[in-house]
Amino acid sequence: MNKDYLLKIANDLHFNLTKQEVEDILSFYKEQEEKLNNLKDLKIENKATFHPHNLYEATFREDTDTESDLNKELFRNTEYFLMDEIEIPKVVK
Amino acid sequence: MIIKEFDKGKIAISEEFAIKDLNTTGGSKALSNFIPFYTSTLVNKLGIENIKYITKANEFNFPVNMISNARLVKEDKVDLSIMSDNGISISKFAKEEDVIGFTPTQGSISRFGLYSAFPSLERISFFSKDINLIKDVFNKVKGIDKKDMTTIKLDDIEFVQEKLKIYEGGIEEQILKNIKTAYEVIVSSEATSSLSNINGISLGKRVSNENIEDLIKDFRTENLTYETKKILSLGGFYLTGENREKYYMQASRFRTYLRESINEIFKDYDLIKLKNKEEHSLISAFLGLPLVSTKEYIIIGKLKEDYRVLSYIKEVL
Repeated sequence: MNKDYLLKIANDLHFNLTKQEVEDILSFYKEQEEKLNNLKDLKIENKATFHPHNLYEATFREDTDTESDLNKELFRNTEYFLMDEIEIPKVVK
Repeated sequence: MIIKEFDKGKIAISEEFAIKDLNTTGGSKALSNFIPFYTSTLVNKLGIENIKYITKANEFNFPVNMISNARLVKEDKVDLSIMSDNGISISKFAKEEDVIGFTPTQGSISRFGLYSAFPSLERISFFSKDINLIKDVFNKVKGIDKKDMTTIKLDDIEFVQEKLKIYEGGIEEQILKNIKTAYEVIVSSEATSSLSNINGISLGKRVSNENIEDLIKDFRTENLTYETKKILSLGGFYLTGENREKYYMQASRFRTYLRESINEIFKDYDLIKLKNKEEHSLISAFLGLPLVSTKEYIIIGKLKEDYRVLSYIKEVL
């Protein structure tokens, strides 16, 4: 990451950075760079996990819920959420 | 309504749980005028009458000041405090202030009404000196919430006495070397997305400007602190172009790798006991596993086996 790239990102994210803030962020990034390269170069064959709930498939056991039950539960909750919490606007004539 | 079980207990919550009609800022200048029109599920279940302190954040915009929560417990000003843990803070302050920290299985407590910045890592957590009180309050506030579709079912916690197999060996070197970096990549990336609603329009104090792009930019420039801008800038970097694959996806693959490694340990053991160090507590954060933190060590349990970590601590303390 260099100064121009950082300023472009900040602009995309809708904020300005002072000269000092740019220097500090670049300096922080520089300290991280070697660790980031180590992570990047790790040989990992796995698929990605984005949320602990993805763990259910791997960790649910016979005496606990199945992933399918969980999905049903989530669907039920979602359905209730929509019915209870969202007020459908009335058409104004 | 006063909840009877809590009459003896005094509770603090951090200012990151929405309370209807009460200016609740999450410690953020950007939300200085925000008055929620809803109350978080946690506060509803606790009963607002049972809350003695609301701890203010003052350090960054969103990560709430954990020190206050741990210190109120340490100094016996409250019996229990509740806040969201981002993966590091609970263990860190349990160690520094010598109190018990408990972070339950991900999804066991509703996060509806919690100001969230890192949704895949954050969990509502507790500090106390009283493990019985932690159990009682946790039983009261946990459960499926129709307003939070990530909540899961968990039976009421009862203490049990059982012979446990406890792993006290090492964690793979490769995991310990990379876990903090993977954590920072994921935290920054998620915050970049989560905090995009702090724009001075849907949330935050509106500043006058004729152009909407300038309005948002002026608002965010003025109201986000340096620390938040730093996290967002790095998150933007990790998610942009080829970096997404190099950093964000790799950190997410690392998460799976970690899961498989820890699952191997759990094939032969019931609990994992490790020194209270940042790298160790992040294992629980990444995998959503129940965690108890003390001054010296942390205990990690299997998913949904919160009763085991709490029972173990009750026995040994």
